[in-house]
Amino acid sequence: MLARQVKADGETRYDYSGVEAALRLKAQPGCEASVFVLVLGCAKEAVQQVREAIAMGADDGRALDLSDQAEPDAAAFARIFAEHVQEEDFTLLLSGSFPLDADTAATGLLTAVKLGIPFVSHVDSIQHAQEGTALTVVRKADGRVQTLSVSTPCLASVLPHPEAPVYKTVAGINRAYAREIELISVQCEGSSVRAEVRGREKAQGRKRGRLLTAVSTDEAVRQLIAEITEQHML
Amino acid sequence: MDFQLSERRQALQQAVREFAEKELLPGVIERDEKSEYPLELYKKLGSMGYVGLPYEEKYGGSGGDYLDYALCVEEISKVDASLGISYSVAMSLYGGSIYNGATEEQKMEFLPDVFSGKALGGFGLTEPNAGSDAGGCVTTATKKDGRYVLNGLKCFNTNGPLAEHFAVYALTHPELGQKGLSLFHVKKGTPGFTIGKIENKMGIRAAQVSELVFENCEIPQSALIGEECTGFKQAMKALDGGRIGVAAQGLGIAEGAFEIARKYLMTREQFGKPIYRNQHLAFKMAELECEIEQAKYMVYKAALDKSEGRPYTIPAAKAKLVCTNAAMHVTTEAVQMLGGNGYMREYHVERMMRDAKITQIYEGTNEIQKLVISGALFR
Repeated sequence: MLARQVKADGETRYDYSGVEAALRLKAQPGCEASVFVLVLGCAKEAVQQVREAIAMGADDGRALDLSDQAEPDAAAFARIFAEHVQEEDFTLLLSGSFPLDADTAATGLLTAVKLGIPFVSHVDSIQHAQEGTALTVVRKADGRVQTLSVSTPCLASVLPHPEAPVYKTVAGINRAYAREIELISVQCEGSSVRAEVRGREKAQGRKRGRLLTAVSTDEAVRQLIAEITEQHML
Repeated sequence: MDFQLSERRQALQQAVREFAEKELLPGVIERDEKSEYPLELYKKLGSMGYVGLPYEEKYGGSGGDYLDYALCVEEISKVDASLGISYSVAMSLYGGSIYNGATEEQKMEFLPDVFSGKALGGFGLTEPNAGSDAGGCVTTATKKDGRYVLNGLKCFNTNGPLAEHFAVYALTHPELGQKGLSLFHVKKGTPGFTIGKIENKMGIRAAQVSELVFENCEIPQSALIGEECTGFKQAMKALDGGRIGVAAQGLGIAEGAFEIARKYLMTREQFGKPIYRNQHLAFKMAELECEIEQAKYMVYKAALDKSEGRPYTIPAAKAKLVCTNAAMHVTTEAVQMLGGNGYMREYHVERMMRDAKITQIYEGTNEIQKLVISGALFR
């Protein structure tokens, strides 16, 4: 699972590092993980970024609309993320290094505290655990390189790797735009989070076919011919 | 009418643009200078599903349509027109020839490697004395002991030195002229089939173009695509699709040069102000912008016509004519607007200008496009 934050007037490329790290981990031999993306931000942009992550290879995602929240801070973001992931069965939470929390880089740490799980910052790479539940994590900070063993579930904020981007595939794009994306409106007041399902953003893919039932063979043929004539196929 | 690309198509366009800027742009000048084709990058595009875009998944494609494909050619050609034409030839000319005429069994055998981007495809129609007039072909395919024996020489074959699979047009009935042409699939390495002279070109220098030489080259009867003597029709049909690819390539070249010029005009200062503040240049850019937009609608319409099953011969010819003329005009103006810098390689536009010229020539010269368009006007 991985958390990202977006705002209406732009996106933070830092957060792509979280998506890319999750997909690199998923691609490691023997790793049978699925990647779920949680995006917090204005509705349209959040849905768009869930689709982008699916196009890159994520399995599923959810958009959290924060349009009604007045000037949220890192603590509010953390409460919202924690609220939405604590009921889920996850092994690893990933975020970018500097999510849009006024550059405090505190959202990840505060979310981990809220969930009561370990937190590792400045993660350069993650190695899938062949046995057991601990992950091997390489951390780069303050000019030092550390290799750590971290028990799961945990939360890691990941450094960007612009030299090795993960591209969207055609199959991923088709998948991303052929499905509905769940959109949940959220608000954070004090220590409580209020969430309300706003609906599902419609699929953008090709027109789906329709099943002809309870019609005679002649009628089915007539409707088929009418359809393909309209499509200029006859 | 809807002039807006769907969000899915925009995502596809954006994804290819990102790949082109990050992967194709570095090294594009060196590849042009050394005439080196980026085969590994092409294969990488294939591994992400962008190569076989307009064809079904069972043949190694991605299940998209011709507009998806045109968008992809356009985005690639904004940065590297050599890769753009190589891709277009593999999909439209090789792919189109085999896809349109082959049996299901032949498609399953001859298409997946090319559509998945693991291998390139080539197209052998042009001969030294058969350019615009395909009826001048003299390469023959003679039936002998249940096999065909190819003899002759094809020239100007894009992907020639690199392709694994070729669609080759040869006369099974020379006495019928162009009506005696038939289409064959020929695999690289077939005895009697060799690569001849590799061309040293003015533009699209990274694309590999060569002769294909056939000397008593024996191929099985199962390599015949469609029926004997249907080759000319099959070639013309493939070329109709190919013209959409070249139109998209021309559009991409024009857009690439336009964007370089736009940024240059905003940053280059002369007489104490950015040069776009000179109305002559700003108005010139306005005219070029309109020319590009016109070209874009023409090629998108032709691609949609093909995708949705409407006749597309004339729209493809119009798109090819308009888009490639736009490519030549915009790149020439871009070189002029960049002044001395425009003439230097590091600014890209001189390469784009050289690349643009061939788009007015191949896949039917623009004079042939006018013949096709005017022919339909006076039937």
